[in-house]
Amino acid sequence: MSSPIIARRLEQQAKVRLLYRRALKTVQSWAVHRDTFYNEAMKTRAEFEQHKNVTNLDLVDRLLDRGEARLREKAHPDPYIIPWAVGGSKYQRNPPVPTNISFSYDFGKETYT
Amino acid sequence: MYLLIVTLPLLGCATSALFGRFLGSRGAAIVTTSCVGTSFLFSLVAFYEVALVGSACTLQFAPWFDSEMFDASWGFLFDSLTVVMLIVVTLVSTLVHTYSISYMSEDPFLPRFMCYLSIFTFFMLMLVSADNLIQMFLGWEGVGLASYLLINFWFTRLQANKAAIKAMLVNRVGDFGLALGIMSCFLVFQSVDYHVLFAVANEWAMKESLAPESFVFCNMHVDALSAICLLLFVGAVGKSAQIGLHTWLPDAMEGPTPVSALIHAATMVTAGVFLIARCSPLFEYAPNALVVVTCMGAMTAFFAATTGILQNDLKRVIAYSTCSQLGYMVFACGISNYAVSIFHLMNHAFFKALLFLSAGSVIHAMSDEQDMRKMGGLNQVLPFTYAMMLIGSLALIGFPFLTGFYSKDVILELAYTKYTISGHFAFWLGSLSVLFTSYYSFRLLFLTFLENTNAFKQDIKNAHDAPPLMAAPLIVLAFGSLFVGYLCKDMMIGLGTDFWGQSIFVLPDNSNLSESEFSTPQIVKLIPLLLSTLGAGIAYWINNHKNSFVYDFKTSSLGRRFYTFLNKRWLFDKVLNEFLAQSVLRFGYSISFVTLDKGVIELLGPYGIATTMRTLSKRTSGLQSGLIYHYAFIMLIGLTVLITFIGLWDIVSFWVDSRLFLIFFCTFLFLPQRS
Repeated sequence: MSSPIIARRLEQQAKVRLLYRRALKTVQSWAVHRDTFYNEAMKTRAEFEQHKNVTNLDLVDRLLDRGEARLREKAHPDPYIIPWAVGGSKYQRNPPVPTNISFSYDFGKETYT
Repeated sequence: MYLLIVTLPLLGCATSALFGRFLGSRGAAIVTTSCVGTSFLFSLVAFYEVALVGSACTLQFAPWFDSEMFDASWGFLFDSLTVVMLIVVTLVSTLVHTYSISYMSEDPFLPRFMCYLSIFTFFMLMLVSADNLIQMFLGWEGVGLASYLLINFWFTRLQANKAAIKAMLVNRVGDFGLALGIMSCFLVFQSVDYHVLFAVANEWAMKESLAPESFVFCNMHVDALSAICLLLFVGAVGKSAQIGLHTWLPDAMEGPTPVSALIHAATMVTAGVFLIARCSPLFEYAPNALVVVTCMGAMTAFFAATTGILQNDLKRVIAYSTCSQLGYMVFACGISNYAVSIFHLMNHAFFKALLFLSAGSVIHAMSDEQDMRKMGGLNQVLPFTYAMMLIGSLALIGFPFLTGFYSKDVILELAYTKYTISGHFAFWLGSLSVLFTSYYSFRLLFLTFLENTNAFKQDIKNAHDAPPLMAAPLIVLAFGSLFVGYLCKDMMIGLGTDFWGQSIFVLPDNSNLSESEFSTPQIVKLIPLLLSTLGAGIAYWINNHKNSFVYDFKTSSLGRRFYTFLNKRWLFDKVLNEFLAQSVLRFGYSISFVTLDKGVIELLGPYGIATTMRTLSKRTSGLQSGLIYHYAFIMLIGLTVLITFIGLWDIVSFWVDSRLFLIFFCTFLFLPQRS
């Protein structure tokens, strides 16, 4: 295989991984219960597995486009975000002070030399 | 003592603000909590003296605005309405102060937090104890400021900044209406003192009925009292998060949980309801305004209850519940049952503060996780918090003989027996809201405590029940949620009670308490109970992990739209942001800032004059090109204009004063010689 084809293939593999990851996160936002999540995650996995042997690069592109469109369509209006991740409820709360700023914790009680 | 009730929190705030670094977290917490706690003890004495013994008192403290035309003084009015609010504010504030010591113990800025809580308490006490509208407005704005500071307590968070600014701006819209209402009061009655206003309102209404007097507002002739009441109500809409100006309240959950319990559940948001009850002598003579109040309240109750059913954030569910309950209080005022409204306010303060503080306990235990989708099974890990949350939820849905039952059901019965269109509108929307209230309360319990856990293993392993300092306030509030309604019902809303004295006024024609007591059909009395049970059943069925239908429906095309509509709050924020806020901001930028501030003022001001003169002089100097054909061209143009002017003199002379030519000629003679 020539190098442009390999590059395209690698790019597609990365896109598929990302799509699968995002699909699982979307399912997780919709499915409140663990049992439901497992069922739906298995269905999602099966759909990906169904196309795992596709080698036609154009067909893979079309499948990816279809997957992306479906993901957009099924997007959760209020996706779950881990508290400390970007957009989470704890994100940016009392972040560490830059190291070049020093604090005097014994203000007013210093011993003068 | 009465002055100490108001000023002790200010003392605590000042101490914490000025000496917080010397006192440290523990010292600041002890000082502020002691001050507010003492204020609560004095409030109990005031309650005994004023409400139970019946000796209302006023204090004229000092002059403030003192002119021939407009007088307003620092004065305090302690009547039954005020002391009930004093008890509510100081008790919840003391409990929240105590709770915060433990809840915020790991935060490095605890003294600042306690300072903000105390300044809020001071302004709230100022609001409820003022004897005139101007001083009340001071407290009103002060609590708005404190709310802003507390929402933005974690000011490094972008979301907190946005939420605080939103709360400030949305409240400003309401405050603008309130300010106009106060000014209208002064315009019509020449006073802002409660005593004067309420004494002359009756006379004014009688005079109006005989010989209507015009009151021009926005270039329209309107009924003065209706206009005043509606403007005051706009203020209440903003502060009490009624539909239209409610968008700030759910976003205000960005603040720490004790703040949500104190400000955005128990006290500040009820200021609007307090204002309507305080101004009942005005509202009673404005029947049109009362219809608006009823409809707005009912719509808010319904809207917020439906929105609450599909929220995933634990605090947001309770925030929408607050919004919904505020709707009940407002429409109770609209049907002229101010006492019942204040009774519900007091009951609501207990169980809503309990719910919020219990939610805080859950969040604290779960390493700041707030999403209910990542909870479940916590009744085994946090049994005490579960018990507290259960008591709060049951009191909220009006479970028989708990606190909410004694006020919410009464409000619905009163709405039914009003026998007006607005009354029935409020009754049916309120009844449907009972169903949704029950649904989201039980959904919260199922998802958080009863269903199989969906949490991270580490969170469950580290989870611990509330430590003593957090548990003690919960126990006090739980007792309140269980017994306050039962104990106070007859005293506060019983038939023929003289508890409220002169603090609340209801026209005899508008009073329907006895009607509701004796002539409400049995089925109407049972409707809230039946709908609550139905809501609980639906919540069990839908949130059961064995039910796959719900997931399939949610992810279907119709289900997603329905879910998005309710989860995104009826798309209110989107519509308000895209069609209103952005237009207003664009107007503010292009007209106020670019055209007026930078445009007219810079053009006509000193900078503009200097720039214009410099430009003009440059252009004028450009005329001196030194080329003979330029000068010949200018002479030609000048001669042409002069000949035309002389030729048209008969016509032009009508507009031009010929004496000007003489002045021009004389000034030409005195032109300075160029050196």
